Amino acid sequence: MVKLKWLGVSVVIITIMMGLASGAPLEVNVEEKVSTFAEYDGSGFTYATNVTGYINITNTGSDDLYDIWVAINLQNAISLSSSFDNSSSGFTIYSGSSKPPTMSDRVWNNINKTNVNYYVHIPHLKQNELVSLFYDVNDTALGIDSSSLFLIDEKYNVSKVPANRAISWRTYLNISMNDTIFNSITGTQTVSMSVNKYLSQSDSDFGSSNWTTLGPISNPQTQNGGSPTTSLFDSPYSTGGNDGLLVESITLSEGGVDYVNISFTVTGNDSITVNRTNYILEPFGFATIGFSFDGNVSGTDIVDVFAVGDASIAVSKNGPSQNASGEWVVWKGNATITNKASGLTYILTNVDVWATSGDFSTNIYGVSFTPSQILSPGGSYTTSDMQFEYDGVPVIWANATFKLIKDQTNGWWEASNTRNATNATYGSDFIVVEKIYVIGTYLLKVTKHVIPNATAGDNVFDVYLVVENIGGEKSPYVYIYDMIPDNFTEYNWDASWIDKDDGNWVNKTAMFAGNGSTDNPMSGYRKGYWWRLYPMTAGADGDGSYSDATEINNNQSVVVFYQMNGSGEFKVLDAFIVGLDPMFSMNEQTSPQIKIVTGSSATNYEGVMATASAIIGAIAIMGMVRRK
Amino acid sequence: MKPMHSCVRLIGVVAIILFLAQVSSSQPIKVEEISDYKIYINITSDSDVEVKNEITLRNLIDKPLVPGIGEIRLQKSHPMKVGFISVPFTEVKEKVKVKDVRGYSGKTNINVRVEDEGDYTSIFYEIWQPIEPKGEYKFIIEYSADLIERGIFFKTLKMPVGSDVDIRNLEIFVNSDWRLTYSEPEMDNSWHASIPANHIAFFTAEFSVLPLPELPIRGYMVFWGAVIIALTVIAVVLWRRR
Repeated sequence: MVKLKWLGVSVVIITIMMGLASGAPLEVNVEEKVSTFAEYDGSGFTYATNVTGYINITNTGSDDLYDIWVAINLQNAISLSSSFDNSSSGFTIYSGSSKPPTMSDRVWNNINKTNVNYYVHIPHLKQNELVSLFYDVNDTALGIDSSSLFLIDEKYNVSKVPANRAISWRTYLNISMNDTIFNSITGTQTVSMSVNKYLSQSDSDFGSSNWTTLGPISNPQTQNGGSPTTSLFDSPYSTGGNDGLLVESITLSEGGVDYVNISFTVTGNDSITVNRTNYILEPFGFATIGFSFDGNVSGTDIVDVFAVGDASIAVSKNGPSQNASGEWVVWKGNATITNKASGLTYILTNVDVWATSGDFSTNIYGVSFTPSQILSPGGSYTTSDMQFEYDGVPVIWANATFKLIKDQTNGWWEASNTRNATNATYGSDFIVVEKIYVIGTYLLKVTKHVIPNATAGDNVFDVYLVVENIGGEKSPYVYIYDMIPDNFTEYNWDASWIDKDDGNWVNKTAMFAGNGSTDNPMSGYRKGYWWRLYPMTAGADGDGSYSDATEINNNQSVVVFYQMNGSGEFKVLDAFIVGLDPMFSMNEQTSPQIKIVTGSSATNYEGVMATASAIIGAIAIMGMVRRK
Repeated sequence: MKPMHSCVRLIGVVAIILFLAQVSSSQPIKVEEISDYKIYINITSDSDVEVKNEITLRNLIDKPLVPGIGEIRLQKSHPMKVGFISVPFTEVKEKVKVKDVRGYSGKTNINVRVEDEGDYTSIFYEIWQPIEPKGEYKFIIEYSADLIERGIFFKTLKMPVGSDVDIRNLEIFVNSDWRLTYSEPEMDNSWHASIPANHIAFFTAEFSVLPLPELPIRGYMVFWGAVIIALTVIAVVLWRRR
């Protein structure tokens, strides 16, 4: 008995986890990377997009983690596989929603299984160790394989540029969030973005060696997209300086300002030979877009994580004491669970305490506790006493089920983000190839000047229509058309466009090939005129001058002049409308002269066959006659 | 495959494609297309056919467009003829005599004029009505022209159609008092097609005064082939009985 009393208070401590205690949040990061190749095809951008995903499970703290189970709802993806592993134990992927064979009931009963289609088990993940899983997003199923997260719209102040001449054009690059895709991503996204624009004279780097000079980029400006900043740098793909443009600190907001406008001026000289092609859609460089935002495209979700860190469980036994009959058979026992980690918080879900005989052969008594107790680092929980009667010396056991809580600082946490994939050469693998039409044949430009002429009379205006062939080849016949607004009348006109001593003439007159007019061509205009000019010689400088005697003499420029007189409530602004009617024109609003080819190419050899029939018939008749 | 005069047809196709190529150069930037093109062809007992072109232009850009001057270029190619006999493996290209040319859009008349150039004829029309961004403008050009190749009991229409802009929806309706004996592509009241810029499509229809059904090969070949075979048999029999 003395012996038993001596044993009356004993404490058995079973340390179930060994290791150094330190703070150790467990990060499970779903990261998707987007590669997009956007290319201008002459009328808009075509896209090819590929999205890949990674699930990175990282022990970023100083506590070791054990028995990690990650329950994954993988969506719109082909399959899940290993990407990288430097864990101490390795890991196993289990596909399907059923219980993995190595998962204990204690885990199975304490993990959220909603929509789970993959479980990943990592027995031991030390500090700074990482397990990375890979999946290929099913872009086709998502409908993004030929689309893009960001829509590109690029326009130029001129729709075409002539070959073999240094020319500048203003580029307007608009990047906007694709609402269709972003609406399907959970949450409201805010995108951080940067754009690197490179001019390129390299055929293998989205440029063209036809550019004898390309650059610099000048006068970069931005609008919208937060507060972007711009800076110029030297593109490695072009020989000049300041031929690269960096736009940083762009912010796009879903449902808010979800676009950015970037404009800049490019100077270049393309050397395509005029006889080789009429025109070419010439690449002049590319832009890479770097971006990131929270959330992912595929909809993949971390449903739950089960993990444990350092902890101890201690069992306390007390007895024997006397029962009501005075027998020394009453024993008490409890268990104490202590969080031994320095930076992990657990939730204690179950504690089982039970007693067996000294030879462990007989279970004497047992109690299950479900405390749902939060255990902060260093914290502990002690069950209430389990009391039973036993006339021997029992052994008291206990086990506990606890797991890491979902918490950003002391537990596991799921993060999800999407960013551009990396390209080893260009940085970002979101590449936008830019092109502009270079015209190797004729290229016409029309400039209209409307100038008050007080000398001629009140509200009299001189109108000069300057047509220039700035291309490299002779043009076909040129049609130029213009309209006189309401409340304006022709002034000092005669019936001829040849003589230059009045208010309507063409210079030079030898280029005038006819004209015509129509009444009330459109609302706001009372008269429409058109002039036909003979084919024009190439090589005008495109400055729109109506007094360039050399170009006029060389048939490189032709000036159509007329005067008009405003009366009543006239609007000079309405006079600034002019049209041109060849195929290749600087004026985007130029309508090509549409040609429809039709006619007849029928054959009918009925006459031949009828003649053959007649001959055979004649032979038959001859036979009949001869027989008679 | 339908047994046609493939060699002759090939010459015709090449000639027409060259004809299209010499007049056209596609737009580097598409600003316009023919979104709808209906051709109504009425084959009368007269030597000419009546053609009504119902054309809808679509502005593809975000600025107003004035179509300006447009052109319908007509050419007729056929085998060389000796009297009423067409000489196989020959081809003649010539202008098309057109008359009664008229253009209008709704109640508004459109200026049209006809000019002969070399071996083709052009109908020029003028449209000064701006088409709003992404908007459409429909107009009609009518004319009469000799586009039919006539035989004794059969007459044939083979019409090429192409343009230097895309023709999104082409529909051709052919009306004749005679019976349809052959069509290629097969006709279901009308032909439907979509023709990209600088491409050309051919539509063939043969009509006969004879009560023949629609056949998979040209009716005149069937009819006159049968006549030749019958007469040959008769001739052989008669000459053998002698």
